[in-house]
Amino acid sequence: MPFIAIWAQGAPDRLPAWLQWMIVLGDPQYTTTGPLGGLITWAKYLGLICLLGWVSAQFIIALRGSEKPDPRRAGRPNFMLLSLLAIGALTLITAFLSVLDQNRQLPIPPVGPLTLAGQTIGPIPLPALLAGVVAVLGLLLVEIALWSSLSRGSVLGRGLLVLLLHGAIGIGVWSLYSIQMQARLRGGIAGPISPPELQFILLEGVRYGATLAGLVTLLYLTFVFLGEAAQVRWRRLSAIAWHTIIESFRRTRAPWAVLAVFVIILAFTNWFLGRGRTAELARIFVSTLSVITTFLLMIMIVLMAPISIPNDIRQQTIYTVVSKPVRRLELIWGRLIGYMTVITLLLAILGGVSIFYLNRVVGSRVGATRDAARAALSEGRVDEARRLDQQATQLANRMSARLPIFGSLIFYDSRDQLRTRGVDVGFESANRSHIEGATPGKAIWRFDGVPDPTNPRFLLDRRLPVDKLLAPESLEGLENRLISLQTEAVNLDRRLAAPDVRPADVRSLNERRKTIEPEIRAITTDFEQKRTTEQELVARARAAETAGKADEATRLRQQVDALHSPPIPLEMTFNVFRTTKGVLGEAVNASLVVRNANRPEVPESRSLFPVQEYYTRRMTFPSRLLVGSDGRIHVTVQCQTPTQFLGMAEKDLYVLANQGPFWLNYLRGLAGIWLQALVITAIGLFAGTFLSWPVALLLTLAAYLAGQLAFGFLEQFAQGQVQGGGPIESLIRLLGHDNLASDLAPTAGVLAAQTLDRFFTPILSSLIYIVPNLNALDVSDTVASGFAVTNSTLLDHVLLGIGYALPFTIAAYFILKNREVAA
Amino acid sequence: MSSPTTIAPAGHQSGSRNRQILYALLIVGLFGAMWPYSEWLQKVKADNDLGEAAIGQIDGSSFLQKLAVIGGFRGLATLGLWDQALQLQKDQEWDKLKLAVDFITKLQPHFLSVWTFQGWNLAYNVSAEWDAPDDKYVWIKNGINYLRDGVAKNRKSPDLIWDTAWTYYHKIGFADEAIILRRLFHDDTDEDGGKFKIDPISLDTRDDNFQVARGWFLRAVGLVDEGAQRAETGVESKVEYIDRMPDRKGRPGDLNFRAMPAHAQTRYAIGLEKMSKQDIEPLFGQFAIAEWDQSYKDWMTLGKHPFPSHNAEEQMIFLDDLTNDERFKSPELTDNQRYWTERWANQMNYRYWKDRADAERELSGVNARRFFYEGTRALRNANFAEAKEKFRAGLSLWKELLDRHPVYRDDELNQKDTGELARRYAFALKQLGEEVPEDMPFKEIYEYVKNEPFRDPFDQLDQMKVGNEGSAGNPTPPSPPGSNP
Repeated sequence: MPFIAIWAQGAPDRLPAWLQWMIVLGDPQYTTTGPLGGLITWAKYLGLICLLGWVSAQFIIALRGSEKPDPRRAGRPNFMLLSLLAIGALTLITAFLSVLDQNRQLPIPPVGPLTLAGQTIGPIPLPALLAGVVAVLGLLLVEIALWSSLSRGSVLGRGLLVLLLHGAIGIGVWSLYSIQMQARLRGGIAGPISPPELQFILLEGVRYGATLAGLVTLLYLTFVFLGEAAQVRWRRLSAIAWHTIIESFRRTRAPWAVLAVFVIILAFTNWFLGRGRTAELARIFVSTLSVITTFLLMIMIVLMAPISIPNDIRQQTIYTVVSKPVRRLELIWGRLIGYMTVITLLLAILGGVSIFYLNRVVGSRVGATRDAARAALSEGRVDEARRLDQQATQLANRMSARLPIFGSLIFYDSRDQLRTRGVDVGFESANRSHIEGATPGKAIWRFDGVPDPTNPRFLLDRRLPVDKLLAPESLEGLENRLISLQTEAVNLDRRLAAPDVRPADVRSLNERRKTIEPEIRAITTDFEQKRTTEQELVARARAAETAGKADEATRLRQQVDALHSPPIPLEMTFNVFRTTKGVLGEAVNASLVVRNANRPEVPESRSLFPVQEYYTRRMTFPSRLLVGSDGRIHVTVQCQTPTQFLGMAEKDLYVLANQGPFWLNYLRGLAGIWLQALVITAIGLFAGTFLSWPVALLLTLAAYLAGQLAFGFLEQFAQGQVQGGGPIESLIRLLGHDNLASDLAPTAGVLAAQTLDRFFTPILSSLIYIVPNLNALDVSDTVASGFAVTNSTLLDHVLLGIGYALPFTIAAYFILKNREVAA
Repeated sequence: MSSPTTIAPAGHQSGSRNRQILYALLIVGLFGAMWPYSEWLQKVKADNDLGEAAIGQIDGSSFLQKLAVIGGFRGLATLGLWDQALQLQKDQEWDKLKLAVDFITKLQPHFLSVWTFQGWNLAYNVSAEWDAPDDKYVWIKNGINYLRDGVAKNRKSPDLIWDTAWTYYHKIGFADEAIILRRLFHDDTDEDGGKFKIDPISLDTRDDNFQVARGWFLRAVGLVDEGAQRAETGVESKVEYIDRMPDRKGRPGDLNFRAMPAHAQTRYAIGLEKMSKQDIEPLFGQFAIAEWDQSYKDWMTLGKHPFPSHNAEEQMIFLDDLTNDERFKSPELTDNQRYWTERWANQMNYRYWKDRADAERELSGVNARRFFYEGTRALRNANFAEAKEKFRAGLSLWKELLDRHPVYRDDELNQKDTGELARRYAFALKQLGEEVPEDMPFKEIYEYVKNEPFRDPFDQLDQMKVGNEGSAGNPTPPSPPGSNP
């Protein structure tokens, strides 16, 4: 449809402000930038779920009929139920007709074309027409349900909400109408609105309206909830939490079981993991320990959380509790706090044991391998010594928390043409691409302002943090500050001299200009002083060397080094693709050039090295390259061996900002497991509020497995990207050994399956959005690879975890509140 | 966890007691019924070598995993792991791949194809993905260790033993980097107490992969002679394979299967007399004679083994009959036996191998080889006068020897080999400005091969720079003297 395209092509920023906000608030797939954007998206989805939940609740109330059964109406059919069944049947028929149509088996021709108010519509296929009828009838039924549920018990708030919901839908449609009008204006389209445009406005408008209505519902429920939350008292919460802890330790004994199983598994882990290559040992041990910890804790929480409330209800202990002045929300949150305390305790123990174990088993391997390397060297086995040493270094690096700074990678091909990717040598995973040896082909990592690949109009700041990398009091640090102050002074002068400078700015600019001079002077003095000291030390060291006093010279050289900022470490991993065997036993060579992109006159740092495939090589470049660079550094890698190729991906080369301790990082990794446990506990409690314990347990388990193992697949399923039809059609294919791509013969069974699929798939797809993405909370891979989990990542994950867990506990509260526990 | 039955309202005490008795009876009954079944199961396990514990050795981790992933879920878990392994291989995550395939065999230790396939995959495919020879070696070793682990858990499978032997023999000994890999094997101080380098027959530690391979080949052959077959699991016997079980390796009548110990021994002896390991000097003298003698004995063992002929199983075929004219033409043999003897012996070039071992085990053979080595070495160091002397001495000895071994002499393999030696001699002469003498030994072969230089892929002198004599670095062979007049 051309008119959608008009505003979709980057035009939203030219719409009036209120319409832009309507798009941001009304379209679930569109949001603003920054942290607010994520929050709005979250609120929109939550709102839609709230709307669905609230309307369903009203519908169920309407369906149940009057609370006081009318004896005169006994035996008469329930109007709402009958209508619902009728609409369900009609939907099935529609789905069936549409399946027939898709298989070209529909005997009935399309309806129309119709002429309506001078406009020609159609021809409309029968299924589409029926779908329209079903939609209208369904909406009508919802309307009836909403108003009739209101008639029972006069609740002003709910009435207002129903009105507001309708208002929101109206606003949605109006917004779309306005957007369309803007689009017509810009596109120069005149005349009356055509039927497709009308359809677009109505359908999209209702979609926008529904999202807005969801936000309204969310607001309403938040108010109701805040009222309850204000009543929550810590004393009662802690009492329930304490009882939950006692219950889990004494009655279920699950925490003890977890500890016992963990210890048993740990005792045997070395048997089947210990034989791996030393270089990758840490990665394999850490990821395995994380998996075991996650698995055990999740099994425990899946078994404990969902059965807690149903057990209380079944054993009627809940009556005693609710007869006390305990809020329903406290019942949920208290349990949550209790379980999370148990989890925290267990995580602390398991984490502590794991760190101790890793240090003992893996950490000791570093020293042992280094010793073996030394022994090999003394026996003249140079190659083996080199290999062992590399393995030890790699293992030591993995047992730390490295903080990498990534650049942006571009390629030049063998004809020196700029490319976004290198040569494809036919690897199945397209992760790395290659450059050809002994040609102008090169890969350049730019630590610089680089164009955003998704929107080249914007620049991404990938510059190196010079202030952090250079020691502030070193010669390089001082010189760098001097240069940046001088640059600032020049810029200030230029701005002051500009003809269009605003009088209001002049004063502040002048003030800054005045403070800069003394700063420059102070740093210059400091710098000159240190440089003199350095020159003296160098002279004395030379004198000592010529006099043959080696110890003295070394000591002096060390003093000189202390005046400088340490060299900047770079780490890199490449792979090699050979087109010929080359010279037997000779490695492929690569060159690396580090350049200051801001001051090309600074001499670049060059090095040549043999590439060892899949090993992470650490190199350094002198810190003086950073002086005056403003963080703009370019690293160029070329393959120097003819006919061979060097492969790389963007994340294969990075500057190492720092290297922290491993144990702290491991604890941060455990935080990821803690958050997963939080989400699953919340889901378990939620399931327990309205299901019997076996079903609640199954639901929690399913949520865990779906979120942990199958999230990617479910996402594809929801977006309709899975080949082979819906669940029932897939089953037919599976049993019949049919492949995914071929069309099935339209037999009665296949048609029935496709009809059911068409009926259920949308429902299943929408349910998938409730499944938590537990993989996103999992950082064990980062920890296992020896990279630091940063504070911002941790904060992101905490927000995500709460974003999943909080709504589930609130939903649990609403269900428990409306459930007739005391009946 | 509190079970729903234990927490019951007080009024149901007697009912709960009855239920407890019922459960207890059920447990006892089930155990009673299981007794004969488990006895029968033990017998089947013992028959098929499917026991979990060999004497004094229990694999705790495997047992625990099976406990954790009980029963039918084992198959599902294996399937998932296999899928994961394929993906990890695509992602070039080699160490995780190894972990995954290790897990598969912990869950299904008696699924033989897994050992065979993944052992080969690690030793051949994964090692090829690594660039440096020492890394390649690590992965070949991983593959061999994987196969050895499989043998430890399936002691009655001759073909798994044969696969292990083959990987020692072929992947280390015949790779492009064989010279370096064999040196790495030579130096390997195995972290697993040196078990990797142990010859399973003599239980000695060997520094040569071909020796260890021979031991493993002998072990496989020995097992077959004891009557073992590939352990068949219930699943396999129900599936109709294109390549059926009896047609696989480890079949008693498989020629190539039985020839491998002799081949491994011969390769070892050949490797001994040249720089077949990086920077390791060759060995001659009595040591080489003894190994060639062993090689001759191994070929004789093969030659004297009775193979049932294809069309008449009661008629035995002895390959060695072909080298014994008297016996071959005697009326004791039927035409059918003669046909199969000739066909099979020629198929594997038996006469060449036997005669070669016979010739090389003589003192003059070993001495000739020493002259050739020293001559080539002098040639690479541009010491042409010495090269000329060495080659002349060597070729005369060689000529005298081969005239007594016409089968070896006339075989095409040898013509290429000996022709190259003659070519080197001629090259040394040309460098000294001398003509090729009319009475040069093997002149007729020389004329035939002089434009076809041959570089031995398993000789460091032909392939790489030689460590302790820096100037000998020219990896390309000397250009043939006749090519630029």
